[in-house]
Amino acid sequence: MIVKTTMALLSVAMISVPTLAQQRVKRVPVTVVFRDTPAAAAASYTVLRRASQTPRDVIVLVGPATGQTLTDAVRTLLYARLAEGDTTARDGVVRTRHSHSVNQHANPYPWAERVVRDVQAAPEREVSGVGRVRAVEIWLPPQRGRRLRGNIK
Amino acid sequence: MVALLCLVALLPRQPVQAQQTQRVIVISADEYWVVRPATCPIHLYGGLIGWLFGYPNGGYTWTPDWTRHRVPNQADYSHAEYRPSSYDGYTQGKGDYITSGDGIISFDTSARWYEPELYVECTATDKFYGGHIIAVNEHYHVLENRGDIVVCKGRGTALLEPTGENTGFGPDATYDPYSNFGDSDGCESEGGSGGSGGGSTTCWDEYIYVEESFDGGATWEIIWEGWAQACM
Repeated sequence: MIVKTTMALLSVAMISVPTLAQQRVKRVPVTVVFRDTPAAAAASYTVLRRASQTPRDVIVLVGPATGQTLTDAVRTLLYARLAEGDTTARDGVVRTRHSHSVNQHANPYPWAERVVRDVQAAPEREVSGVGRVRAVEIWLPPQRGRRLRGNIK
Repeated sequence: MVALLCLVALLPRQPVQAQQTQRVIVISADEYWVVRPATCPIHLYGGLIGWLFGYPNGGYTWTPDWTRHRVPNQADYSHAEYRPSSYDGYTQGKGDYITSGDGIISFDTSARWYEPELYVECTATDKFYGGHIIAVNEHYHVLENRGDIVVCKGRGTALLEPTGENTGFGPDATYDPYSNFGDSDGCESEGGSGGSGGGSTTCWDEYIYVEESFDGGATWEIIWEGWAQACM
């Protein structure tokens, strides 16, 4: 009986513990597009959030963009997702502004340079609301449920 | 009569167990078990319980000793939130760690922060054999693992970087931006500045405004402002 009881308890215990496989979560996509404008001397980016169009979130890279450019754009998007949610209720353009001028840039993501190269080499396709551009889709961790300190306006 | 009522009113009140159904498990003709809600204890310790609670979380193994932090429903002590009894059990060979003033912990010089918490259901199993009770076993079922919540650094939010060549979730873990699934609901995919290894990391706090324009850039509305951490 002791053996049987122990086995039963262990089986209950095994059922109770969430497995790592159960913790796998769906990431949230963002489409990165490259707008090839010869006139653009400096790299820049625009972060678009759309309520009803797909793709929902779009990062538009312009000019000689680098991994640092994409990193800054992704950080801006993540802040917006933290504040508003992984999906937005209104179409808008997002930007971040520092309280004082910051000369330092945060570390570029290790994969950012590769994604920039990929998007620059990607075939052109139609992206709704943006036009015919080179584009790739990447996935970011969901921001819902995270704690955000500061002031949500 | 009034005095008696006053006396009754002053009596200490025990928490009332919520009405929950008991479950009977028949083992054999002579043996059956009755599973019922039980009051969650003040502490949960190691041993089998520690084995139960010691599963990897965000790449780290939490301490096996937990303290009851809160009972969300005062009428139901069979459900409780637990937090680690101390941070001593955290390292698990993972190296140095630091804690903030409000009970969160970081293993990677503030790049990522964790606030472990378990939401637990407590039951007791009365075991009957031959018509007599022969044992009572308690069981603690983790309903929700909240340990993967990332909280912000010190006075403000830390930037939740979804990157890192080494995600900290395993020796060969890397972040694949083209994958639509993550391995965990939190920390593993935020490699941040501490993840890549090699060289020193400088981090700084910056106060930022996140603004959104709903009219094509003519006017801008602040949707969030606060302290953020960036590293290089």
